[in-house]
Amino acid sequence: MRNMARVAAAAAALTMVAGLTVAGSAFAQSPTGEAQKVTFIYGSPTSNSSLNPLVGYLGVDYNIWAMEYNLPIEFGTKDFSPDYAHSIVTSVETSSDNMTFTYHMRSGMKWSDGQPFTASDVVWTLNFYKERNIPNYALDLAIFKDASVVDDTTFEIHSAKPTSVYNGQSVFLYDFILPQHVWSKLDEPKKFDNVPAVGSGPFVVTEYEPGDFVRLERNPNYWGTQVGLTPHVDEVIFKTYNDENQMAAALQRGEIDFIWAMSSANILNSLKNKPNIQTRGAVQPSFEELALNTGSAFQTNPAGGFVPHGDGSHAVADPAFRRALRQAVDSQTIVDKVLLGYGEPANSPVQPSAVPAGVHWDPPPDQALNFDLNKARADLEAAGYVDTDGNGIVNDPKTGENVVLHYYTRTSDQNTTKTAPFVESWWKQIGVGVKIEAVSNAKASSINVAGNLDLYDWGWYPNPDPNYILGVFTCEQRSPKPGVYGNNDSYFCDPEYDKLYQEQLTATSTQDRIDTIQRMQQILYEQQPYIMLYYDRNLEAWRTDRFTGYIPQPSPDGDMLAFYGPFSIINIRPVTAGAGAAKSEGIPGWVWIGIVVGLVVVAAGIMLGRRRVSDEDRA
Amino acid sequence: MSTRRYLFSKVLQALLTLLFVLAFNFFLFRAVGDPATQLLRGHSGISRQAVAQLQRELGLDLPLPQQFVHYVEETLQGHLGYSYFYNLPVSRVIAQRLWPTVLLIGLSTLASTVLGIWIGIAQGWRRGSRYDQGMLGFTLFTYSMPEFWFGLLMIMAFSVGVGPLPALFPTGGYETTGVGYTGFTHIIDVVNHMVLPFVVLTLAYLGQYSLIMRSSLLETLGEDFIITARAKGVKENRVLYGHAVPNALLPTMTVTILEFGFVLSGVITIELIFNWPGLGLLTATSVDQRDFPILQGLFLLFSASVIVANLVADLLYSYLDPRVRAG
Repeated sequence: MRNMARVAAAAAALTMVAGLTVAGSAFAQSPTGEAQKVTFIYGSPTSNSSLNPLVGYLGVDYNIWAMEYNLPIEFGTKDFSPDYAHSIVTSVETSSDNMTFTYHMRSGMKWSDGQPFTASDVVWTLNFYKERNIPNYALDLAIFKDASVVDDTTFEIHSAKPTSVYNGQSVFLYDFILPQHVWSKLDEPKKFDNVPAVGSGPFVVTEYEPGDFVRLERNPNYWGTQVGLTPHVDEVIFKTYNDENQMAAALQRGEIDFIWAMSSANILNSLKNKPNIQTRGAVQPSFEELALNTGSAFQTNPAGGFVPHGDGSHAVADPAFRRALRQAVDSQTIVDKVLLGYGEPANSPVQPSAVPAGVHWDPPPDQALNFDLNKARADLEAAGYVDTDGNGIVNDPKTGENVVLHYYTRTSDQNTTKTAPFVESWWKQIGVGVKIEAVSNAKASSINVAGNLDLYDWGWYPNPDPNYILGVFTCEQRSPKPGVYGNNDSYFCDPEYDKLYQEQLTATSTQDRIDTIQRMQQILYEQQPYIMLYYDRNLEAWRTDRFTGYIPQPSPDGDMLAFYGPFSIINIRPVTAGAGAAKSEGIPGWVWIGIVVGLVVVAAGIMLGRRRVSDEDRA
Repeated sequence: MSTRRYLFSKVLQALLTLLFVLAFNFFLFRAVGDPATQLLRGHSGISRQAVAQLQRELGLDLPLPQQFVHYVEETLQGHLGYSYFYNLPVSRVIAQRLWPTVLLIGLSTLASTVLGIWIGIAQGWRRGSRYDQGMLGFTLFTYSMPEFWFGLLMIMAFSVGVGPLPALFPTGGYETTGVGYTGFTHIIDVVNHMVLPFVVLTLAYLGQYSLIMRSSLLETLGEDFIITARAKGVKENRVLYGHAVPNALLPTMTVTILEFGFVLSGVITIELIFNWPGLGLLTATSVDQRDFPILQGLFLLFSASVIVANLVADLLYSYLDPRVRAG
């Protein structure tokens, strides 16, 4: 009797499983019409900070805005020169006094919500940025007085002094134009989360999970179709990955299409020979330097309310000492060993691809401070740094103390901690000691603001125009006292340099400006507030079987997503029809149902079995 | 002590602890440095005025006591401030991560608790047997192995696929981005994403419960009342489930409830490896970004969760074991 019951129970269970599985597979659908959408997914190890152009400041923030908004004049993909054929502005005229600049715009442009995009929007945006002193754009607008509307397709920029920077020969205004009808109505524009966004670019943000992903969809009213700019992608998704191994695995699985700005060269190399994957170290303006404390404790120039502070050593405040240090650092070795080749030695904070064309400077051979330990030692001696107490470390001629430099690296960037041992060993050979300490970014910044260091290893990501990075070295940008931040982390202060900085801003011819900037780079090289280590490359990897049509910026070795503008994103298209659909992974739904039911049956069986045993026990 | 008085004193204790945490939270994060400095690094053209402006906006220029009063007022109203990094309300950033955390960590804690207790009971009952030895070895191994290492192995094995092992599951994340699944397909999608981290977490914490349950049961089985029960002729099954287990369960139960209090704090390493958008990951990234408001909000949430769990454990314990109330 009992056996029959068991068999019956088993049969019932099996029937149930079969039935549910069939039912389940009816439920489980492969993605329907949704998946016919073409979706481009790119990932990065850094999360974006804000979708609000008044607040965000990271490279990944700029990438999103590059797809949503327009600059007055766009950076061409080939070499960052103005691309009038694909900009909202078509031409610029300069007045004879070089203080009024007339910009002509395209007509018939619309925002993504259908409202007209006219000169009023540009004028309102620039004036707003100026009035509110928005940090991202403040230096672009330093010499800007105001803008005014002439008509729907014409506006004027008025500068406070004669200048060439707004004459349109080079792109200077790296400022995103916002829709006046949205932003002027906000009580607190800086608190605006800007999603869903109204923009003029090919895509606009429609969904955002902070720290996780950003989703952009096609702008139905994109004006770019007027000039042949038609995207082939329906959706763009930017995903943040906190672990690079996982991100690499995702690329191999085809879960994402592109990895932008990976930080580990080792992981990039592991992807090199994988099927359907291509990698690149893309040329970009980014550089890394050893920022030396040129005298936060000793300077007396009161520009910006400066008060001497900190405990930086006297030696580092001596340019001759710094020049000797420069000759004891071999950038090429660091590029080879630390960056695994993904970089170039650097001499100037103004990158080779900077515009206006020709503005980048390299030292002529007779002025170059090449890597030469013997010469470095000799130069140190000539400057008065000799080892007077015979312990292998030179002594400061002024104070007599051993020169041991307090050197900070940053825990969030492994390249800094890997570079330090090389620098330490070279400097030991010329008799300079170091005390190396690894700290977080925030701590490094605090220490620098307090002036309690001799050097640290950090980097910048300059704009295409050097005005911004050059401004960092002006006296006014020094942290004036502990606790108050300043961009000028080397505390470099040279009245001649400051004068030239103003001159390049107010030069009325582009060529004069270029010449002045070259002279400034020369001063920085002679003074060595930064020992320039290298220009590092943007580590990128992508699938070759999903999308094609990437346009590098600059050509040919630059960023494949050309994120100074939307042009690469607009041009990419699926390799074959259907290749652009997003896929999902895992076990199909009906199998899950089968598993769950199976487990339930097994559990029931065990319970029944146990009860039976206890019945027998009782008998 | 009467039940009511016991209850009241426990609840009061919990509230006072919470208040202390509130105050401590605030001063702790202020003590480590000024976020405006970190926030402004890399901004072009920062002028003195812009820095002062930012500090004003963040309320950092007010004297510390005033900032504290402001903080308490706002917290009691449920306003946890604005994230420095995301420039969004803290409550929004945290709320969005709440469900994935509860789902993954909560379910895996539940699974490792249930499984662990079940194994522990079987082990204690059949002490010295091959099952006991085998399980001891297994649970100790899974408990002591680094879970992120195991997680990476699982990804390599079942997501990327190694040798004969098929690439079955996604490499990480909570759901497939870019397809907007809803309803049943969405549930299955999340399940598929959750399988690997769930298995890793369950196995990793199994040992905790099985070991405690096992030793607690062994201790109980040595008690006099067990001998009495057997002498009375009670069946073995009944001795185990009717007498031994309920008594042995008490310490395990306390540990379990406290563990549930920690569910919200997530598991940073696993969330990192599997890119699971939970509160543990948020904690890690916020520490790096010096995002004080988020850290304050998170720590308040975690502390409250543990304090409440502690309170529940206390009350439940006293309910289940009359000796606690009487003493």
